[in-house]
Amino acid sequence: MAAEVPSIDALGQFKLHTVLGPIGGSVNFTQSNLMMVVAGGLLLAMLYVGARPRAVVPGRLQALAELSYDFIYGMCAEQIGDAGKKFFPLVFTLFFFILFGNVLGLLPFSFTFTSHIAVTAALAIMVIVLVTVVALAYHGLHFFTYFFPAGAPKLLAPIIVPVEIISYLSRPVSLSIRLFANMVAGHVMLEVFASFMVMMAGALGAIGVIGAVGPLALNVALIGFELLVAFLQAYVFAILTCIYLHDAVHLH
Amino acid sequence: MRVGVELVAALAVAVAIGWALDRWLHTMPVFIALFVLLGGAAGVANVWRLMGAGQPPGRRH
Repeated sequence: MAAEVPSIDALGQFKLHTVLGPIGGSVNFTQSNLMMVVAGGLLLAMLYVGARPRAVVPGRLQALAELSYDFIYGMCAEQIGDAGKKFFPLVFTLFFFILFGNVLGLLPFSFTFTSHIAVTAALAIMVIVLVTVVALAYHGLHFFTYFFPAGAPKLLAPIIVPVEIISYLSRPVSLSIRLFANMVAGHVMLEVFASFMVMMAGALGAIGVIGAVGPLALNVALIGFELLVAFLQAYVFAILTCIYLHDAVHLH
Repeated sequence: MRVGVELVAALAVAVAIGWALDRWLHTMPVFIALFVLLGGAAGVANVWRLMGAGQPPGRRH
């Protein structure tokens, strides 16, 4: 950034590098993996420490753990129905893993692992394979009638069946791109406005420092907005998983 | 954002299928042209479902 011609390196923040010295280097343990471990550890700690007191009137952390349990449990029961209780652990883990990844990424010097399509695509493929396996387990070969809605004219089958199959296959694509694109866009915007601040102060001196208050204010607002997006995208991922599971369990 | 992603994702999947079929059967423009149309239709179908059309009011998203 301190080069003579100031330029905005908005995508450099997503570059992976190994951490933990030579041990991490030899097994390619990157800062992305480190953040995943931190997110998982924090989640387990939140639940373990939160659930330990078993108080009738919960303290703050226990209330947090219980509320998050209730929130996802309600979502599963409401979206999937009675069979949803079986999928509660999956949806809970997905929601909080993504939420912790998104929110931890907003801290300075940390890294957003959900901003890599490799991570989001792996999660989405896991979901879609599970949904297909669940549908096959519940309905057997009857599952394939999903691609041809009952009551549609038989003449239209050559069009409807490929369209339904493409629509089904596009689910993991849209699921992964939505999360990854939202995270990348947010962090690029933050980086760009932060660069404006540095460039203004560097180029115009005292007037620039006063002018830099503009991008700073925008960044403050953006951080708030990014917190909303971080929660919303985790919620969207979890609720879409529920909706796909509902389709798998009930077929239409 | 959501609507755009749905449209593009369906189209991308369709083009990938069409391209792979063409490569396999050596019929370069035939399947890709067909699947672009189907992909567009699938994208619109996805958005249609996203808007909750064609479903009982209890299950809208």
